[in-house]
Amino acid sequence: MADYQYDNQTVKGFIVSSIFWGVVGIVIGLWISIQMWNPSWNIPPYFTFGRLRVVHTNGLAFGLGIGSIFGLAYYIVMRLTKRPLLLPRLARYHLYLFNIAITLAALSLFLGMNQSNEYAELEWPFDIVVVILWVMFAINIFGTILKRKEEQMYISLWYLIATVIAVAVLYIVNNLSIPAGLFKSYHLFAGVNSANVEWWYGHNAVGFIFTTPILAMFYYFLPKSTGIPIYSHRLSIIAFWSLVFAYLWTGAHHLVYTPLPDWIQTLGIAFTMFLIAPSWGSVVNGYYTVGEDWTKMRTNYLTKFFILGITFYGLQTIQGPTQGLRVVSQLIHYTDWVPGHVHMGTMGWVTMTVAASVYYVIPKIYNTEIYSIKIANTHFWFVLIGQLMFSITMWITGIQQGALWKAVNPDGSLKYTFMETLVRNYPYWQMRTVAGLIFTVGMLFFIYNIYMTIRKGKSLAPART
Amino acid sequence: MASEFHKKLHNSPILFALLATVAILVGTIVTMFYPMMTEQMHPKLENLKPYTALQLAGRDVYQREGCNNCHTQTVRPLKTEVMRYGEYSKAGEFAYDHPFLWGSKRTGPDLARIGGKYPDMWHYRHFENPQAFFAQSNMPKYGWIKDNKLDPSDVEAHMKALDFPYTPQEIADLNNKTEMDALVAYMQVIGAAVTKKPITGESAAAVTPEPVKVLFAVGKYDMPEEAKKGLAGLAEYMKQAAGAGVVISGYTDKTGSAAANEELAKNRAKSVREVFRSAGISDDRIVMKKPEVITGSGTDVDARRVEARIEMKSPAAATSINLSDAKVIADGRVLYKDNCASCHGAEGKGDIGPSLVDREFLYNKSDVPDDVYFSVIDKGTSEGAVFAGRKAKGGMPGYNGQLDKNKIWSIVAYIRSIQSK
Repeated sequence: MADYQYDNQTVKGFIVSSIFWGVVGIVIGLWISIQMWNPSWNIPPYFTFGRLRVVHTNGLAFGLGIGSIFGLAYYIVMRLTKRPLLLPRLARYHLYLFNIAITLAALSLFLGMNQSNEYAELEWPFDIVVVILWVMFAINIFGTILKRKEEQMYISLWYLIATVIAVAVLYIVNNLSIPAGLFKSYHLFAGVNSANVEWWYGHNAVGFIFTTPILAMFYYFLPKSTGIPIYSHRLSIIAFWSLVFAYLWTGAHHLVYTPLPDWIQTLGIAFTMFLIAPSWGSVVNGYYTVGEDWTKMRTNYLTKFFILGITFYGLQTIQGPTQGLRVVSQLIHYTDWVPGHVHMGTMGWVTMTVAASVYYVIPKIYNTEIYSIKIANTHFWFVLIGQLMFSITMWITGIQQGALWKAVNPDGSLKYTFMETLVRNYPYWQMRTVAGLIFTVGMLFFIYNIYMTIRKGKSLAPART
Repeated sequence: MASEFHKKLHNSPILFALLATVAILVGTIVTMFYPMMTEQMHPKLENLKPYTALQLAGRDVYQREGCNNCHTQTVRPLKTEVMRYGEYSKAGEFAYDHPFLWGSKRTGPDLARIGGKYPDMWHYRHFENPQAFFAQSNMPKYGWIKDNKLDPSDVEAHMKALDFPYTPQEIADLNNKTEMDALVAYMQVIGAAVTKKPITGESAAAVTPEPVKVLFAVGKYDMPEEAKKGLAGLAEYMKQAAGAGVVISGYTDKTGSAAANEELAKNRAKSVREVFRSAGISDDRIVMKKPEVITGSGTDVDARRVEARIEMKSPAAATSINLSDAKVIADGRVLYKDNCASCHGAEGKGDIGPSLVDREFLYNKSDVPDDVYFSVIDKGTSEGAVFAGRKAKGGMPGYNGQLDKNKIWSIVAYIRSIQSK
């Protein structure tokens, strides 16, 4: 027995909260997927596509994404520093404030308070709350690491430190705005410059919310689940430093063929290509780790979550740079290909890895076993099939849209009016709703499994607080 | 050494955090902070104006309703995109856009060139019921914003925050305006700073150039250098005017045998044809016309010539379409319903746009030929455009590039068919 206690309650609180917000985000996702092919599902003023879509993206990025990152980061940091959090009470307030903030933020988006910058839609008062939340998080992460009882900092801690710093810089700079009322502000930056700042943020928020903290989980929970140490420490050092260096150059690949100066676009594209290397550094490290004993894929139910997760990360980081190339961008930019791409990352990589980490953590906290491996396997197959159906359908639609927009008659005139190109998306959009439903069913299996595990754990013995 | 450093780095959180910060800031500074400090990120078109109070209020509504989730506001410099939407977006158009609203997804069409494309009434009706215009549109209905009055003091605060100029009268005028009025005003100003290319019903190069005569030396058919300039002028004109063809006829003087003269005249015409070919004019636009009398008129010097003259094909002649063909009319009916009926009414009796069956055309009480109908549909009635001597006052978008020529002729055929009823 250690002579200290881990603050499991806060960890659990964040996990349960993030699952709750995840359900909200996924349900709204299904809703807007129906609105895409049936506009009568728009209920003005609060439930039109334009408002719901931001609740969907923010709910999942901030609620499910950041919520689970907070909880799992606390869990990882305590274990890797061999001590409780520096300020456990602060972490508890952090949890409360998190839920209050997400609730108010979601309401504000329903009400149409919207800065119109993608993934930075929240109006300025909520931005301030987000910054406070982040500072609370940073204090505990840095403080605990500084006062650690284990000399060496493991890979996961590097990724967490980078996350804390990068998100702070990105979030604060891009949300600088001119307040024009209690819930209304205008971006401090204008026009082309506003676009450049926003996509510097937009892309790197993906990098430092959906990549680095998830890699921290991957590097920690994969060895823990399989009992196999990470294959190459050296590779992880190279991958880490090149990733955090290269990421911040790449935002302009979202602005290919816009009026943004060409050199910034080209630089963005070039560094995006370079990013394949560090991304695959982690992919290869993951494969070779499990490569020590591939039978783990069968014998340990979590291994396949991690391996499929890192596989989708690998595919994502090949597809992303490809999309950045001008020749590909001209065809698929602004089409449904892009949501297809994003959802491979979020449904494939992020959700798989987070779910596996939660499967690992919850039984540990309750000193028990998972309620049902069979249900976990069912969960796995449902989310895998749902996600693949979603992404592949959207890639096909995207290519079709791009091609129809470009198609010309022999005399050089356009072959299709915009409406003619739109109606051809409907069957694919319907298919996407079905895919989303399959994914949702998978997530319900997950939630049920976690709920039953907690119940089982509680009945066995009171959890250590 | 290296491993010592690594050990130290990965055991010292402060050093590690500092280095990570530096790594993160390099790309940030080069691609974001540095450009921000330079002129290239703050361009402004000469005739770009800050938003008026009403327009800004409309932009606020656009932001609130998340229109940018489905509509982009940037036309890429790609050929088909420019055909579909209009002039590609310029960096200097957006100097007053806090934030930019370029968007990232086109579930609906791009809006960078929506300003002035349709009359206000079109927007009011379309916002209220997009499906009345495009039955299969997936756009939500926004009629409810008609019931929301603007709050002038709010709008004034917004104008102040952005430091946009306004008059007290402008704010007072907002009192009886709704969010719908504001949104329509915003629609109409999008892209207004980019000068639209002047459109005339007649071809862009209105005056057909004079025929060019090329004089040859006795018995020769090689092209005299000095004559090339005149022909180049014709070729240049043909590149501007898509409907223009060139007719080339060769002549000789009266000396020599008729057979030799015929051969000579033909070769001279071929020499001239070469000039057009090398200027990039395709053969289907070059007509080699053998004159009835090979020997040219006038003095001998004048007679040893080739004449090249421009002939305009009428658009109708360029198609083999028969406007009274029942199938053409039926095609036209479908196209009319999808593209025209929302403004001109299901039976062409007029609604947002004028009646098409009253024999009044562009504010004149007399009809115009089919060609002019074609031109109007093709080019749209942007303000100042001239069709058959009649000045347009704006309101109708051009379908050039959107619908091919046969489709536009089918629509003309359908309009003719309902006029005769």
